[in-house]
Amino acid sequence: MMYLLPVVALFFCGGCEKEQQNQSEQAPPTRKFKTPDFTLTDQHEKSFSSSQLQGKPWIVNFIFTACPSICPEVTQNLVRVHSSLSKVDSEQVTFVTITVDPANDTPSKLLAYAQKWGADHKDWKFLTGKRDEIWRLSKEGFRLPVAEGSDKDHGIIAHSSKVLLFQNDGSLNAVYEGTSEEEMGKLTNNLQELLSPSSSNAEDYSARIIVPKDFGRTKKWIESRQAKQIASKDQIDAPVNFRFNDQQQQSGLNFRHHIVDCAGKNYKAAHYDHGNGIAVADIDGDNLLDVYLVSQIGPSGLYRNLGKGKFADITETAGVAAKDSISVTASFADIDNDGDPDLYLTNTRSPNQLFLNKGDGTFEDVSKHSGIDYNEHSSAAVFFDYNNDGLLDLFLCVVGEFTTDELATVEGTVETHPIEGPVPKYRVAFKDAFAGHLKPDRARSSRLFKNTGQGKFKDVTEAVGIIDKGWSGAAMPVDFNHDGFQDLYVLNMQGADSYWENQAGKKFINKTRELFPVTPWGAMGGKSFDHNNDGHMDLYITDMHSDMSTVVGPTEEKEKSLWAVDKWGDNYLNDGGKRILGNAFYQNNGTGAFKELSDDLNMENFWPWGLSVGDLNADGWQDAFVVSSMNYPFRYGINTALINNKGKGFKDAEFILGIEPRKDNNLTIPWFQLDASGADRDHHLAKGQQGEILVVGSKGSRSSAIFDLDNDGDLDIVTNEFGDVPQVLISNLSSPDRKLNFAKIKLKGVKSNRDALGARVTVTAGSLVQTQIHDGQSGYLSQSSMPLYFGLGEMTKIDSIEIKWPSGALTKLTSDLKINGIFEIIEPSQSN
Amino acid sequence: MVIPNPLEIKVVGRDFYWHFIYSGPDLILGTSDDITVSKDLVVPVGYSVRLLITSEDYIYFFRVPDFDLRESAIPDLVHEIAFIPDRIGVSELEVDPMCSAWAIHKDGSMGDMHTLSEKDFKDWLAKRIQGK
Repeated sequence: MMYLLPVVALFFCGGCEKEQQNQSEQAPPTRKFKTPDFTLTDQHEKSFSSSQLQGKPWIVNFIFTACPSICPEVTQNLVRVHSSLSKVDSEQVTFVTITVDPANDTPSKLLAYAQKWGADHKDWKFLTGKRDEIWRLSKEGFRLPVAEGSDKDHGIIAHSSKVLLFQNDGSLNAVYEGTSEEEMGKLTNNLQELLSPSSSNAEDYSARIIVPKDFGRTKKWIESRQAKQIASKDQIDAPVNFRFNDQQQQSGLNFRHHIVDCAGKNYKAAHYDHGNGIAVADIDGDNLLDVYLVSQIGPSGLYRNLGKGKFADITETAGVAAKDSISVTASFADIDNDGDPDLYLTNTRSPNQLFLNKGDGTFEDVSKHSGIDYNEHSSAAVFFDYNNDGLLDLFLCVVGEFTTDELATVEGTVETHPIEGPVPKYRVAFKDAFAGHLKPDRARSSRLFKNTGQGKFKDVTEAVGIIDKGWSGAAMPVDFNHDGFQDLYVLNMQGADSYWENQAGKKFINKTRELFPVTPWGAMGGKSFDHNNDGHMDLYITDMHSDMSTVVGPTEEKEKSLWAVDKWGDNYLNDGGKRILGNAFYQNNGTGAFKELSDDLNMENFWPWGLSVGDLNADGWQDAFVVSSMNYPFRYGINTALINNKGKGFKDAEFILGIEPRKDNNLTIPWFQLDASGADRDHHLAKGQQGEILVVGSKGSRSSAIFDLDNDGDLDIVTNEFGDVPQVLISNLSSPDRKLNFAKIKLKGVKSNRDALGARVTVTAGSLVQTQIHDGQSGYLSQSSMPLYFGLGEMTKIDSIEIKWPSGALTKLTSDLKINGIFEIIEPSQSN
Repeated sequence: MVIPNPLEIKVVGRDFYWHFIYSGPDLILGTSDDITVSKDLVVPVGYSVRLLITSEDYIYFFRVPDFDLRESAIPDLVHEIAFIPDRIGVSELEVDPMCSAWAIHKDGSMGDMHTLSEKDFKDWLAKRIQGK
């Protein structure tokens, strides 16, 4: 049977030729169309034949290097497809691009072309040969038209812009329009499916075990909650008529997080399951926010924002893979005041790493001489200027000792998603890691490092008296007493939190109980922001560990975990009883006192890690996104979107906004494989099984960042998932038929630290007055360097922007304040 | 057969089961004639019972809801609770939900507490001593 060629007409298009299809006459591709035989020459002057394509998927398209428009467009689209594949995946597929203009396109020209467009990969062949052979190959082999162009004198050649995908057996899988981003997204999906069939194909395993066994009940809970929440949509005064869509596959953010076995095959209740962070910054000064995603084991990933929601993996060239570490999180901050964000990574049982930005998006590892290559159980790294000397200091949160000295190699992977090697060993966690807070010998004090300039830091923890031995994963810089010096609220994940008041940059005094008589027992994340636009910074703390005290059903998720006292007892809680067993929301009354209002404001949720704050609906009221869920071996837990109901409290809106349930309603993920007949026969899940079994667990997020990823004026969300690819939740709030008002503010400190961290910014637009503190706290464990974002609701005019800089200088702008743009504001050189 | 009063029983969590250690004929806990039984706790009605609770691996939570008993079992630490069983019968040792145990527990039960009459308890303990 012959392959029926789509009926095409060639037409002149912007200096090149593109095919136009007659959709009504287009025949569907048939898989009986096989790879034609050919032998051509590649960009390195080596012979390449179709026989080398046997046994794996491959794609082909036709270009010529002098082509002014269509060819570069298709090439760029294919570069994005290539970058969206993991390194392992990309090595299993071959890209073939054939010139239709061999008279001009020599191998060296093709090589230059590949280099120019970032397509210079060993698995991407640019082929040339004899013109007659290539044209015959195009027309008869691939059934793609080619002809002299209408502008022959200028060397234009009419050819197809189609991309053909062939599968492992050499047969045609599908045809795509190379100029269509949507079609290229489909190509990416199809490629990944061809490359990873076992991720969704239970037939490859003798058994597929979902943990927990009653996972189906979880789905029913979620369906019920979804229906209930959507039915209550009318009770929300704030705008919620927009949605997020997970566009991870189209975005090129193809990072995959990997776990150690203590969170998987050899699961134990230990702090490894706390996961890892995500940090955001414009690393190369192109006004596009780039993303760094941290993996627990294996390489972390730096992704350059290419614009329009697309990213490219630049980890290797930037030199920040950190693949020899068991990593925790990342912070971006300009520690040397040179105008670009530097990167600090924290690790478990290996030295933390400081990378100085060279200004071009590449980094230099200066860890050894920095004084902050701390080597223990680090967690969040909070950069702030505690003594207002214009240099960013570091408060390093330190979890207690939760690992033994035993080294182990990760065995529990899924073969479709191997960790890119060589893979470092990790320290096995204590079996009783979550009793560490009862064992003084395992406690460690978090550390305060003073920036002494020249990229060096000095440990001043004892000198300034901030001895905090709580099991701390994160901390928040705040200035609750308005003295111009930043205080610290330090979380404790197993006991009472601490509030440290800064004494003019010289000392810190613990004043926890004066301001916060009770604190969450299992505090994990937090953020200070002004929820009711009264100009006073409130404080929201999420409590994960209290939620671990029993099996919680869906109707109890919005309740405090009061049962923890009964289940665990006072000896285990060990906090003197001054506790909240759940999230806390401290509303600042402006007179130095706080009122805990978490239940009144609907701030309770289940299994929360930390939160990101941003005005998701651009209405002028700050919303919160709380990443939640625990993965294997627990049931799925939803991420929580809390929409600020115009200062009157928060409304659950994750289902209304399309954040939950996840894309394709997929709540599970292959977690690890077991050889039930061999090495793993003693594993408890291998009991009664034979052969290779796949263990599937729940999906779960750990950290998030809210930012305008695609520069369309609304805020998007990117998560770092535990053992999975990120979610790239693109908002459709900004659309042609919806008026959006906002302002972005980027600060440049002069006397203050260059990032102006600690600055207080107030934007007044009519009756809407909003205040934000620029603290860099972007999500669980993480710090980012981003402009502040102010939604303006219905306000189309900004009356003033006021800034109180960390130095004490004041700025007030009242003219030329055009909305829907970015204000770059420089600190006045002299204090007012 | 003499039952010490108070009766001290060491409660040890190990490999997702409870193990209970009674003193042997020397009536001293921690000597070579101690008796160890696993999974089910057996106590005499009307006697003062002191449970010395610890763990040899993970964290466990010892709970007997019928008697309002609860305590954590932590390696290297010993937590103590005392009570007087006031009725004969069987009470559930509630399954431990801490973090992992409920999901990967061997069979969904940590065992039971059996409260016996004084005579039955003596017979039960005598058999254990004889069987050692």
